[in-house]
Amino acid sequence: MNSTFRRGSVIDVSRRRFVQGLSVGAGAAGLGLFSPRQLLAADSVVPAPPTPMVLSGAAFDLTIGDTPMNFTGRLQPTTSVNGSVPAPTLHWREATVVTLRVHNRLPTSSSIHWHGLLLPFQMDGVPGISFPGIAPGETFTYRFPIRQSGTYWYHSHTRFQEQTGLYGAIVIDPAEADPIQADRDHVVLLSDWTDQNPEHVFATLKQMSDYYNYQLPTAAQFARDARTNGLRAALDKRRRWNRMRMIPTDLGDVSGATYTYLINGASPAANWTALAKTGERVRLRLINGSSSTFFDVRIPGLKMTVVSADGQRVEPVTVEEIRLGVAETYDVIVQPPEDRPYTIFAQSMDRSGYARATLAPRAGMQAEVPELDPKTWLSMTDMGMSNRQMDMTGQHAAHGSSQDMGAMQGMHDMKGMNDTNGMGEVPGMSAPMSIKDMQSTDPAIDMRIMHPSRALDDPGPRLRGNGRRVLTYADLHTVGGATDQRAAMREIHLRLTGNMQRFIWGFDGKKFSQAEPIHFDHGERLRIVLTNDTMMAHPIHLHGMFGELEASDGHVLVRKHTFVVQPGKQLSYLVTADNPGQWAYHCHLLYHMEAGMFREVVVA
Amino acid sequence: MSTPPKAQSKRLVAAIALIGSAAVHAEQPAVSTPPPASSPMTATPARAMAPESAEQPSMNPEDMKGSMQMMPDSSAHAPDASLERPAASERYKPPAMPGMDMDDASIQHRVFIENLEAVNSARNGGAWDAQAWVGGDFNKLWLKSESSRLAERTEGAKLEALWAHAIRPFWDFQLGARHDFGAGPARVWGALGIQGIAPYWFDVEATAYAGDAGRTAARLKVEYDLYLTQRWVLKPEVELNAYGRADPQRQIGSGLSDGQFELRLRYESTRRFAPYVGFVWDRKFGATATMARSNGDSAIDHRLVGGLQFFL
Repeated sequence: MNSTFRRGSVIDVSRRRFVQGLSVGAGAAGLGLFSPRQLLAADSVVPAPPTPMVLSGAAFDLTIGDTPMNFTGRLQPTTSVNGSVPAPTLHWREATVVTLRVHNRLPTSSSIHWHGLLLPFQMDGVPGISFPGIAPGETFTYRFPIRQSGTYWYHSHTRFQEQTGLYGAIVIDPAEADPIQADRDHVVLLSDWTDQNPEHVFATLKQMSDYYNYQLPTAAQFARDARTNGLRAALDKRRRWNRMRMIPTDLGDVSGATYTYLINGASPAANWTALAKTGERVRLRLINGSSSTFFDVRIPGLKMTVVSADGQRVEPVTVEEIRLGVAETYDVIVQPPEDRPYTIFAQSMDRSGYARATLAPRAGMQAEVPELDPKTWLSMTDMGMSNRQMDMTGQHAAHGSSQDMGAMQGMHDMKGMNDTNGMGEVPGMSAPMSIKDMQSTDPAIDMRIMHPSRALDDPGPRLRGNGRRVLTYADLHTVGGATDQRAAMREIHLRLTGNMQRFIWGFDGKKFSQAEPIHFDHGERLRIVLTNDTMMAHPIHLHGMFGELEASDGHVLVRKHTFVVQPGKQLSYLVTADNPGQWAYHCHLLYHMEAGMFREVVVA
Repeated sequence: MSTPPKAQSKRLVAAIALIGSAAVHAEQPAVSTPPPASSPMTATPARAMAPESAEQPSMNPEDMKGSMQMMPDSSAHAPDASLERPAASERYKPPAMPGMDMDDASIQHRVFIENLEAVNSARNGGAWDAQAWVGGDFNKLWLKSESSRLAERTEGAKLEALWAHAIRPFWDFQLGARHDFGAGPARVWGALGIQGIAPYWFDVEATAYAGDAGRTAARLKVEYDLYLTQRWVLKPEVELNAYGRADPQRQIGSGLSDGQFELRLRYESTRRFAPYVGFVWDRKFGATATMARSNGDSAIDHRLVGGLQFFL
């Protein structure tokens, strides 16, 4: 089953080297010339890490290959573009027409999808939906007009080639003067790398879905809890999780147990560096190009002003931390006030590791790297338990997104009650929803949320009440508002469902292979309502058309190509079906997508 | 941002009229009111695709008007029947496109060697307990085998082949056959059971068997992985066997015949591979115990075990 290569199935390298990676990140062509031993020898020196090359213009030749590279101490095959992982940054200009000749030098089929680009469906690059894929040795020529500007990215849509390296940034300059002024402009492309063959990772998840989870509830924790909070509280905290057969630390499928987290292809040890002088306005284009990892990004000592989300300009909002769902992009402006280095710290949502880069006035500098945040449990909010309790946590979340940081610190203990107490009953509140209500009889669905919260101001698990001002969707307001003032003529309700234990994922309990395409009438304005019946956050991406997120009062907040639906939550967005053809609609967690959390959308 | 309901309903009527006109000109694509031209999102369809059918389900403007005022609070969005209707393009079938590589119905497999151990007791030897499956998400073929060989004698040797069908989120229904071999004549049984995870994370297998000559049997196995730390795991396991009628040639009496309580402490160097040490308390009951004693065997056996758990 894991035909091509079976190496790397054992996690046996020293943990430190594994998570930190090598001090020499790969990313440049020709790295395959070095043996792993030579690269290891270079561990003590910290050379300037390579930045993905930038290709500008209107015509491009992109060659997909399998250049071996070294991120962890072992030379591994990758899926590269022009010999590079990440793939080269493509620099385009709005209102031009680009031509991309993509040559496949792999022994297998390949493809490139331009994520967030509005283009004719034949150019969208999804095998079996937009085109038949690019056969080995073949060239496919993409050609389309650029009708937008901002930060986007591109990646393979074939099997797990995105995981093995086929992802890169797209930067599109506006046709007119850029309203976002900056002295420096850096792409910060986050990703996750594994030395294991992703086909093997997928097979492993089907065999044992918590294989990569090294934060399972333990007897040792229970003993500590019982000592601190009493036996009764310790039992209460666990009862619901155990009755429901859910793991309260199930925030991701694949963790730092196998992943090394990268920024622009550089491991934490390689420390990719963005240069900026004191006082300069620096535009960082944050892109989450990982296959399975949400990142919480912050730059200790600096505030970030978000100016763009998924390539769309937003009213500037200043925050200290941003959770970047898989496939989301945010542009932020930072202004280093002192002549010193600052750490760009991106911890994985499950706190099993981090990516790290440095913003510094000169190369070769580094600042302190923060500790990983605690591995708190998911809470009742994430289970969509009892509305009243949820509203209460919702209020906490609202506080978290207010400016009042001092007050937030003070509430820390109280937060602990909800967050770390997990699903235990909180005295004086209404009884939580019964477990019976949440259970399903469908083998493809391991839980249902009866009363999902629609709160958009919740930063999400492991960010609530951390004392930092964290960006939420409620903070985002697209400049100019909705593009289409019509109200929804039709609604499509989809539930995000799964069975974690069996590693089955789908919409409405159906996998892609079990479901018919979803139809949009060409030209209609429709509302998509997504309800997350799982304990994981899912980044849901519609190809070819943007969605406009609705606030609870119905007004449009932000235009995005990828919406993260938090566990136990519901959100709705409006889509104008103005792009006819066949499109993919899916969860952007690669392993969920390949497991079937995918639909074809037909606009006709 | 919010628009007065009246204005909304007006706009809605206009939209309906627009769709209505699209229905009349079925061969023309239903082009929507174009968004403002200044927007970067303005879409110019690259290739207009006329719907094969532009039949429009009837829409009651009154219903729609009501629906426009929905979602006033932060409570869950109630599905609105008037807005939940199929697309007019439902009958349009996109041309078949080769190259789909999504493989969400792939065949997976797992070979799980639960115990492969050396046994130290009054009678030294070795034992194994293994399970393997191959199949998709909802239907799998399971093979289960267990046996021990103590003091040159093979005991409790079983091989089962079962079709497993997912019937509940955490439970499989199993149907198949069991073959007993080792000491005494071989026996073949039909098997029917369930296997899955009970609340509080107990792994449970409960199987009923029917053999020739009216023989029946039942087996229950319950085990639990207690994670002491992320890598040290204590696994208690209880197994009980019962038989409908005696089978003296295989030293089995009727009723509850034997039970094992086992406790193993393993260290997961990875989740895939774990050496362990353990203790097995094996006891025969009732008529089976009597038979054992009359043969000079003990009805109770204690064993120290050490071995490997791994899966492929």
